[in-house]
Amino acid sequence: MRRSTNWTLADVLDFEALVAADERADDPQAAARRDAGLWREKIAPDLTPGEDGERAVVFHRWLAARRAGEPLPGTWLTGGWRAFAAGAVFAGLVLGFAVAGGALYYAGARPVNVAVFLAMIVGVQWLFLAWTLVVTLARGLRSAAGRLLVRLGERLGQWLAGAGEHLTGEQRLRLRAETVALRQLAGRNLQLLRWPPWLALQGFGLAWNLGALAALLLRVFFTDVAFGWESTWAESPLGMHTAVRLVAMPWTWFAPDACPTLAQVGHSWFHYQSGVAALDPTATASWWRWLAGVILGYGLLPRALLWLWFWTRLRAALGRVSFDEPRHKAAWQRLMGPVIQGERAHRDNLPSSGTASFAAAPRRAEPGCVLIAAPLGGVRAEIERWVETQFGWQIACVETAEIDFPSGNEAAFARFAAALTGAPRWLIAVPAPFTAFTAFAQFVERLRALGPAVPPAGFFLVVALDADGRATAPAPGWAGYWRDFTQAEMPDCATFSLTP
Amino acid sequence: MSAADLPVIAILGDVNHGKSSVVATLAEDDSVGIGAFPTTTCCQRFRVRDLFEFVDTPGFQNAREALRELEEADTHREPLAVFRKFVERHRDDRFFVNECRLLEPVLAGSALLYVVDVSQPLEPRHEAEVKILRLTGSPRIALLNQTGEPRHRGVWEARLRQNFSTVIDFDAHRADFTNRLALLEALATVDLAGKARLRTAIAVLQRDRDEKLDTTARVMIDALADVLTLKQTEALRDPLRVATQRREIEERFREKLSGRETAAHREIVRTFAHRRVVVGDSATPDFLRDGLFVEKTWSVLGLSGWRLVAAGAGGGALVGAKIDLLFGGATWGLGALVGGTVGGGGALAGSHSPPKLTVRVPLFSRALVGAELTAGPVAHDNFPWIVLDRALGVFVSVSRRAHARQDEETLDATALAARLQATRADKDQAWEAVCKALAKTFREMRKGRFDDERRETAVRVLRDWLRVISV
Repeated sequence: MRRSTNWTLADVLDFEALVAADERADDPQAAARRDAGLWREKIAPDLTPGEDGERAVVFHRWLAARRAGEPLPGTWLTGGWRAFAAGAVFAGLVLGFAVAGGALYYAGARPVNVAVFLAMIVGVQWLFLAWTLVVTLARGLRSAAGRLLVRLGERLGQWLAGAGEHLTGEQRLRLRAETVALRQLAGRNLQLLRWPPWLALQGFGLAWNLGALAALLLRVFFTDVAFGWESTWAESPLGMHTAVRLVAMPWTWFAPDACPTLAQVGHSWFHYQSGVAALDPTATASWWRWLAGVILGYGLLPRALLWLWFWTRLRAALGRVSFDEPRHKAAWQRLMGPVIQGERAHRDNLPSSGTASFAAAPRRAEPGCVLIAAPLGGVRAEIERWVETQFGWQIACVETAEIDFPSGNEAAFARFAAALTGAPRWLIAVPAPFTAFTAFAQFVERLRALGPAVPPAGFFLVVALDADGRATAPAPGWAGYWRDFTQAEMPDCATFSLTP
Repeated sequence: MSAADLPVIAILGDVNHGKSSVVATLAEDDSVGIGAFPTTTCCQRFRVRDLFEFVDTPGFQNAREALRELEEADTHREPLAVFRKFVERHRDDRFFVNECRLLEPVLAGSALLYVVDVSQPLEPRHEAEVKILRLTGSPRIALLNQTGEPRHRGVWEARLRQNFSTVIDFDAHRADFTNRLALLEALATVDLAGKARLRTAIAVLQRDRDEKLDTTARVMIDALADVLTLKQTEALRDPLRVATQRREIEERFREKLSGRETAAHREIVRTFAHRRVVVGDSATPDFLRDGLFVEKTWSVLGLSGWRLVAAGAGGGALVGAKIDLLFGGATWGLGALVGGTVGGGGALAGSHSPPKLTVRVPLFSRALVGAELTAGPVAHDNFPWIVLDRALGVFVSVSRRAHARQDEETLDATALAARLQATRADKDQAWEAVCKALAKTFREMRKGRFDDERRETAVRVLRDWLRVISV
């Protein structure tokens, strides 16, 4: 399995969009030519040895070459995504600041309740985290969430398609194609799209905590604010102090002042009956470090860790992107060419093997000579009989010849030429199937060159042998092939088929 | 690497002895011209990456006459010089066109693969061909091909063993991938100069084969995931004509299923580059004649007997076991027992009858989106196995089909079942394990829990099984 290296989300989306577009191309040959050209000119020259088999590397370069100047969905989608993530961060900052600012409202009548403040700033986040954990761990809920994501992707695709109605036909088609590609990504093989929303969410959370922290620090440094706690159930500040110390454990080993003492907790216990005036200002102010620690340790830090985890998951998912899907293999083959590359066959004009209709043989009571191809020697009598019956010839001479060996028949040719002086007609019985046609053409040329006694025009009789070695009619294909061959090579001769 | 540096294997022989069939099979290219009549008039080159080339040559046409002039090479200090002179002398001679063309790769130093058809008699011109090839002194192998009854095998073999270092059987019309590799292995042992490249080429071809198996597995798994969850939902048009619309929806649902299946079959055929195999085109004979919902298909394909029961029971037992778990084991495993029995019984009953499609009104749909009718997904236990068997049948047929074959094949359910049975006969244990893994996959698909990781696992299982049955 080929894994991706250095691929970004935009790369993967653009790559899939391009591959999908090529799959739907009207002219696959043109796509193959283009890719073969890209391979030759832009990809192969820059590859180091060993890289030419690495699909991730080769496809990455192919993508770079294809991308030039062409706006692709991955680019605009991730651009949009970045804008959304930036928006989430901005919203987190503003909301965190505003909510914390609101929670830190102090007009001198009642101190800021640290429990309420923390519940609003950190507690809500933990509630969401707990819910996310339940969704992640419960398989049914997870797959439902996955389906929801796919459905959202589909809806987004439909919305995009609908929004594009005002576009020109070509633009609309392209948009649809790209949304199909995105749907494919969201639905199968790639679960990459699940991580960016999580990342954006963590970005929002980080910014929320930063906004809250900023609001807290600004309030503490530039305004007068008193922190306190309230409880009807508590009988002494000991329980509260224990809880506060427990919460502050992660940082008290290096910042012991960032946790109120038991006395400070006791002196910041607010009772409506006593009012703010009863509280110790030093004690009410001592909480702010602890609150900052809680926001940092229980809000910002988990968010930062989660952001980092989701980012590494996205990187890991990008690293796991494989290029083994059939569509990738098709693209790979376009680039590299098939494993076995054949050149287009060149064909000379060969006789066809169309079925031939044979003219009825002329019946003439004239003398003639017959040459029989050696493989037909066993049916010599049948051939003679057929020639006598069909042609009405009086056979003056019958010779057997090696028709695939033009120069190997000197003795037979000499006897044949002598016989032709008194019987100036010749016929050659040829076998079917037969394949040494060029040798046969040379054989006939030699025959004709024997002297003026051999007339240029002659006859060919195509004979087949059955399984028992008896003469039979040739298959129509072979008869037709022989006829076309002799017409092309020896147009003044006529060809017949033996009909038993 | 330039073409001149590549090891070349020239495929030679008499016309109609199967040279082009061998080439078509080796190159996996069914467009190579094959016929009883002389069809190859020029050398056609096939390059395996940058590793080696093989050349389909025109058949000998005038071997006995050529031998008269080439016999001199027997005593010549440099035999190929005689051949070179022959080619120069007869370059424009119409009686030696083929001989000159087929000798070109020989003069360039290629290894020779001489193809003979042992169903045809050994004739004097073949003796001449054999002698010509021996006179070249090139590394050479003889290939015993057969297009009919091998009546002349003994004569051919005896003569070829006298003149060739290696004589091997290679039925171009039946050769599978293993046979192709064996041929290349044999060539590697003969052609020592090109040995390393041929071995690399073998590795490349093996990788290519693995890619094809992987693609096929992915195509099958994706098709199964789709057909197992496929639904056809339509808004109710007329409450008074529900029955009519039900039939229409059923029909459209079947079409959708068949369309998805056919698309997968086409993809498999395309993966193995068979252009003569036609799937699902009404204008031509259909490769798989019987449909997905035909009684005969269901009577012979899919899982049979207790194997399906075991798969069904497994699923039921699993559900039951979860119920047991829910009650903290207080049910004493009764859930698993009942689940297993119900699942197994359900699987056994009607496992070999096509599923009856039901069109239903989904719960709450009336309240939420108005009245709708929905057909599917098909819940029949044997359904994925039927779909899988049909896809495996297509795979077995095309992966073992030699590209030299010129016929158009039509498979029906019985032929398909027989072919699958033949592939499984001695591999039952392996199939058992595949069944278990796939049964789990099908359950996951149906429950919508088929994610990327599970898909990769299923692809791996199926790919391994395809490797087993493809040879």
